[in-house]
Amino acid sequence: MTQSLHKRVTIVGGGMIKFGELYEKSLEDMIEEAYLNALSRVDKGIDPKDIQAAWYGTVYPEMGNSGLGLSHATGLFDIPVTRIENACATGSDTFRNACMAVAAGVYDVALVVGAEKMHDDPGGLIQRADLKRLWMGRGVTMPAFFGLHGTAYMHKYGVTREQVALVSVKNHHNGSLYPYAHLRFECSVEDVVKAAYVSYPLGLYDCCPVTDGAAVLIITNPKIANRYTDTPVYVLGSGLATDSDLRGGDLTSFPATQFAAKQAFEMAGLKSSEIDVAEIHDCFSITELVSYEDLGFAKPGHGPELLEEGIVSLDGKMPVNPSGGLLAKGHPLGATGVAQLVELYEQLRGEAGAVQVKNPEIALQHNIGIGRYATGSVGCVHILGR
Amino acid sequence: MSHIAGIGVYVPRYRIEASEINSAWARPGGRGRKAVAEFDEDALTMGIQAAHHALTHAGVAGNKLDSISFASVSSGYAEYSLAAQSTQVLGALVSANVADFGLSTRAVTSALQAGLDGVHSKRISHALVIASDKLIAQPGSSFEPNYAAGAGALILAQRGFAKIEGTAAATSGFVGLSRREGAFHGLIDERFVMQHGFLEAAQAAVMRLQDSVKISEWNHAVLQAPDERWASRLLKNLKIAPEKLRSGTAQIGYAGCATFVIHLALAFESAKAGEQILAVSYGPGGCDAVAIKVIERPKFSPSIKDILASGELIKYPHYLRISKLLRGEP
Amino acid sequence: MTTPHQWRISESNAKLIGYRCPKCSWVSFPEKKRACKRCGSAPVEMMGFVMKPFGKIVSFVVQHRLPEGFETPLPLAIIEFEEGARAAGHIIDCKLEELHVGFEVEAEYRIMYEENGLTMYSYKFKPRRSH
Repeated sequence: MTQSLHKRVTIVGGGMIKFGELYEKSLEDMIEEAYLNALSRVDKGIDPKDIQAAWYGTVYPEMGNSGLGLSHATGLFDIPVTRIENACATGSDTFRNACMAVAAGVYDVALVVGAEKMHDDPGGLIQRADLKRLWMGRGVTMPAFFGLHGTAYMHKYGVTREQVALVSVKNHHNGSLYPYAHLRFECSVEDVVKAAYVSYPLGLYDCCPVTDGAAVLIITNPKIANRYTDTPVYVLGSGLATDSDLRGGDLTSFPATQFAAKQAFEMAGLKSSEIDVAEIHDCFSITELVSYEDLGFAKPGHGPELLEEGIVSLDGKMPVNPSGGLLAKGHPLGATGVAQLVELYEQLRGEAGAVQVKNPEIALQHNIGIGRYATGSVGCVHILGR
Repeated sequence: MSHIAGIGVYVPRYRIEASEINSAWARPGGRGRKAVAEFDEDALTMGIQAAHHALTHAGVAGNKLDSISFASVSSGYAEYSLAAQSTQVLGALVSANVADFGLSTRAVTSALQAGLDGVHSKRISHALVIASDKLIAQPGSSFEPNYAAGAGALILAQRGFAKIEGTAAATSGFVGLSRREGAFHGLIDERFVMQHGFLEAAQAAVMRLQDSVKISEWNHAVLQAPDERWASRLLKNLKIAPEKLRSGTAQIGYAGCATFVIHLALAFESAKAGEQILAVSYGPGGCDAVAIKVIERPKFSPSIKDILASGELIKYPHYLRISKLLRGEP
Repeated sequence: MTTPHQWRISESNAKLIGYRCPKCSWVSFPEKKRACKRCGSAPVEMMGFVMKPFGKIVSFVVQHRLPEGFETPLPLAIIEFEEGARAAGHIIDCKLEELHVGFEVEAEYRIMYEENGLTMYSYKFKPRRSH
């Protein structure tokens, strides 16, 4: 009998740094700052010596980017440090792996770090479009991968660019209120659809910015959570899957997300209608829209209705990306999943300030990764509860 | 003797007018236009297209080819086999005879001769001769309005729509046009080259051909040479009426080795059964002349005339960009 | 000089060879697989065959931001060959406004990239004109 992660792990602390173009900070500087923020925000305090093991998620693979980087940034030596990489879903998978070790009873207190230094490479991500993978996505940059799904989705369901733009408008509004967000301005549908194309059908405002950032979580065995807080957040469900558009399908969904969501909902014993707030992967506007359907919040082709009817707005029935999402908060690859979880930890504890949604009990986090195999995705879903 | 069983032509999509090039250099006038290859085309890719067309034209499958010859002066390599690459792409026999011809635009007739010899001796059943060039002239040079890109391919076999009646060569050793690998043609007195490099060799080759095949009445004339004016001088000296010249130079410019096959295809398209074609090929050092008798006029779909007349006009900066001439030295 | 990676993919790239799974009939391209990517059956004996150079666009984008080595705007598509194999391919010889989901295309041999002093060739896709 396989054992579930359901209620076998608690989050007792979380911290991040203000995301942005942090030219003045190194990768280690960012991790240290997020780590110190997380320590300081544990309700009853925590001694670094309590941390028995750490997981470190970062993508940019400067040859042999080992767990030692986390030790150097935090001073946590002499304990197990595991480095995880799973493209843009790195942060979520880092959390997931740490959770499995705690749930297995191997450790009682573990640290989860996600961080990415995006601005030390003048070429940026675009320069990493793989030149050699001829049929496996040569020239398929991230905007192109998601744009391919955008074209197919809009074609099949007759959805307009203006409808897709509502995602950017909503998330930029939320980001303007969120103190940790990289971009803090509002934009209109017209701004979005009139911006220059990056990869048709996606324009500049349909794309997340290039952002540096770091985020940290402290997780424990639920039995000892009360040493650190009286209001821990429980992991209710977790799922992870991969897919490829070369296997079939019409590119109007991300099947990996559907499989990951199925795993997570089954583990949690919940339905999509029971989610109160969600952080959904919105590296591009179209990604969030399609993901509504993959996660079961809307029927295929009906995603735009959630935006048009205000259901996913900050004051709606199920707010999505109160933090501004990747579009406004930014998308420092390895940090992204962890930062989504930090945000939901705060939402569930009522600490989210200007973007606090009304009394949420169940939260969903969703993260997609693509990476070098730009022909499909890695989907990761977590469900958290008070 | 050997026959031509199929002929294929490939001309890239873009054209630039000579007047557009001249105006970029603040020069008046300019006649005709030339074909320009896309940034991702070269002698090999264009040659493959022409080869596919020739195979279709001949109704021959790639795996029937037992000889592949590739003629080009613009492969860009000092060592590399375009013929071997073509063999793999076309699915020709692994045991096929493979040969590359270059260093002179006359390579097209050298490749043709090799194919003819193989078929004539019955050692080869189906020989493919590919001629393809992407000639890049120095911007602003006199060659620029004319140097073009294109490809042609011939299938030689025991039977076909045209018969090779004979070939003749004349090699003088006069160099004329030359360049180092990757370099542009430099300044040259074109009239000097025409008179001493071209006319002397071409006339000698044609005289020798006429003696051996006993033909003195040509119905069509085809010439592969870098300057269209050389053709009218040659025809005048040989007493061949100028209207017998079959040329697409005004539509697509001069594409080195390919020009020989493209012009030959034009001749076939306008020939009647039983007519004789004189085909002359020039390269530094000499000329080859070929006598071809049309047995039956081949059909082309689309027509060769239409292929040459089609194309999309581009402006000079677009031309420079896709010809990789716009980027400054690093 | 040829690298091992260039050599491994050269034949499939040159001839558009697909490999059909005997269990689910999915076609792998350009890799010859012994573990099927669609149905997961393993081991399977996939038979290679030369695919027809025809297919249709499943979806497409027009790339405006790419590193050196590409010309932009570049139309880029997921192509489904007539035999069912799929690949990410570049579209050529096409007006951007012609592009649409379901657009029929035809493979044409072109330069893909330069590597290690060699030009690497394979197929791009143009609007289908022949039959």
